[in-house]
Amino acid sequence: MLRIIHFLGMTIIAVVCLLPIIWMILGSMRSYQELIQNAGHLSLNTLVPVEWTLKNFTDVIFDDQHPFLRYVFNTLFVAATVTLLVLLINSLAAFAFAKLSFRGSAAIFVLFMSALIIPGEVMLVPNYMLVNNLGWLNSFKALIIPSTLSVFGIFMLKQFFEEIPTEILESARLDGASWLQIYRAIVLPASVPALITLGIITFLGNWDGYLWPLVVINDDKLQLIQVAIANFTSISGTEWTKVLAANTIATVPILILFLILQRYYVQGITMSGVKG
Amino acid sequence: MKRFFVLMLAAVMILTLAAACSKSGGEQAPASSNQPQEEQSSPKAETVTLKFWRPSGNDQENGAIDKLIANFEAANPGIKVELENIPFDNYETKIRTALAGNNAADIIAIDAPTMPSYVSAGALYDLTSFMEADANLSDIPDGIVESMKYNGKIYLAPINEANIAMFYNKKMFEAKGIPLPSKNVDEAWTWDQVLDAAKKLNDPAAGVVGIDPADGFGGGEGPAYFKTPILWQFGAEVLSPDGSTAKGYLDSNEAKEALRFYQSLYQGSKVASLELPPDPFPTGKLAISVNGIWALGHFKNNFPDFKLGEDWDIAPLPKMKRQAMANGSWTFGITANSKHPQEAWKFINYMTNTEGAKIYAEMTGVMPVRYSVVDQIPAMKEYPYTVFVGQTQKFSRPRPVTPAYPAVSAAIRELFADVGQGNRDVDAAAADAVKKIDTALKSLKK
Repeated sequence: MLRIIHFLGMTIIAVVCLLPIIWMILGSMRSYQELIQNAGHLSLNTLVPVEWTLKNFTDVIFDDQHPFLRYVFNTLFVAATVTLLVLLINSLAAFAFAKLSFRGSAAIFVLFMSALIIPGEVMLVPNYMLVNNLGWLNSFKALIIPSTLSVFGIFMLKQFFEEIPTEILESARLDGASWLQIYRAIVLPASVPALITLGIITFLGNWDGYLWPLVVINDDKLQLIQVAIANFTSISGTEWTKVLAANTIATVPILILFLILQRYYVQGITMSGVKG
Repeated sequence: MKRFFVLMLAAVMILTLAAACSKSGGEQAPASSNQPQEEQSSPKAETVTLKFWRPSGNDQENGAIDKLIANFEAANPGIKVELENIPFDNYETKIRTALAGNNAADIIAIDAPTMPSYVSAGALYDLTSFMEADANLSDIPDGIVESMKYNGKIYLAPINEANIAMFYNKKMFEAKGIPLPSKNVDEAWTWDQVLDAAKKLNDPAAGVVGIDPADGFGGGEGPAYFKTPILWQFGAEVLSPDGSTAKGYLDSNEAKEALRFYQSLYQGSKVASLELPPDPFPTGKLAISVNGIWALGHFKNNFPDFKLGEDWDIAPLPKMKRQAMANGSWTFGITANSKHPQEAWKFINYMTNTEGAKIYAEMTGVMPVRYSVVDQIPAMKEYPYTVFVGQTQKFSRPRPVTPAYPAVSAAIRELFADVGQGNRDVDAAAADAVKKIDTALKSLKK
């Protein structure tokens, strides 16, 4: 009996979670008029198209001026590169903070942590000036390099690394292993779930990045997805069906990634796409 | 250890790849555009690349701009225009950040009332001599030329006029036996007549809202554009004539009367709704909608079954003590730091002069500013354009001209949201708005 209730409860939650995504996908396959006409009242056609069409997809993909697949590729490239670098750099830093004792370690860590409370919007203009002075504007460098340091990532991995008993590391030291060897052979393998969680958070954060790419990228060919999607809105309204089609395309890579990695995903540390 | 270094090596490779990719990506556009130049193989001066930023419009607007750029580049092989469409909602964020970094485009689209704030920040190039030499100023209505000026100098070149009017659902009017409003600009309905009709049309049971008096509650410049005219129509002003204070103007009895009327639509008679579905007017969920000329193309393309003249019609904006509408639309300016002001002007002049403006107007259906273009497009002399053209020529006026305009716009937006959405006391809300505007005006003087 309990199992049935449990099953029913989970099914309802799953349907509630999936409904917006299903609506998005089905909505991307109908005309604008039909979508809006059926949005106000509840019937089968609120969800299911009357006349199916792929026009929204062809409009979005085969737009010569604004090649959407190019934006998908740009975003994939930036997000994947940032994710790899974030994992490498921040796990090394976290390892140092967690296991190495060096002068001023606590003070530096507190300094790092204090950066977490500064909202990104406040740093927008200073960051922009910095990137501008470095000559990185309008290139992927401006998108990738400033994102490679994730204070949140260091904090999260440090918490994880501290769980690893120091005795093991010390015995490895006695056996003649270097710190880098210990990091690679003991610490990293023990932290795969934490690394994957941080990886997913970082990837999603970059996939959803909007304000920073909007400001630093001026060449349409280098633009990222979210900015491209926002471009479907103008003063005369929003091209909702195109937005739905674009979102459907943009969701696919994320969905695939998540399906592969979801069993590692640690619940409870979701900081909904906040970049540190 | 070895494997760790392999990992490091991979990371370094990715980094260099990233750098290489971004470089090639950045150079790709100019490189490909250089090709036709190289084919001519003459050792001419190198290509000038103009950067051009504008907020993304609808398909027709974006298409028209693309076409203008293509035409211009074909006629001027030495100049290449690189366009970037920027999301509408965050356009100002991007422009202002880039200006702070001395990195803005050569040509930027500017919403006319924000111009003084850019000029006082030293961000715009003085177009006066260009405009006087090339732009045939007598072809543009005086009121519009005035709104392009600040401290006597011209900083903007206009292409079209924004316009709003009262859209109404003809079938609903007929079903309720309400006489239809006149299409003649001189016979605008009063707000009392509009309220009367809205009360009859409002039908919560059928899901029909009586009226959307001023484009709901949005962000950005929209609210000030739609709502300032209501103040004017009731006889109020926003600022003193010299632009030094809002005290005694935005909190005058006329202004409060306008605000109370607006509030009563939402909170008293409830003929207006705080919540509207998307596109309520063409889907028959809204009987009267104060909407912009740009909606014509949107309805035509996205709601082919909703026909002007059969299902709906357009009447002039309602009046009270007087008739009024805000003028000033998106225009083009050159940034002060542009290295190629001559070439930038050449492009702007092509877009905004008769030839370009005609192409733009024909492709987008908006109202051109130039008399010569209005003359060349027969549709402008017919309904529904007669309503828009008539309002522009007889009753349009600029929004308050002041470098503090962004603060004025925000204060008006918040004021109407406070009284309409929040049902706040009109006296207190108006006093607040006056305080906000006067604070901004004072901080400018320092």
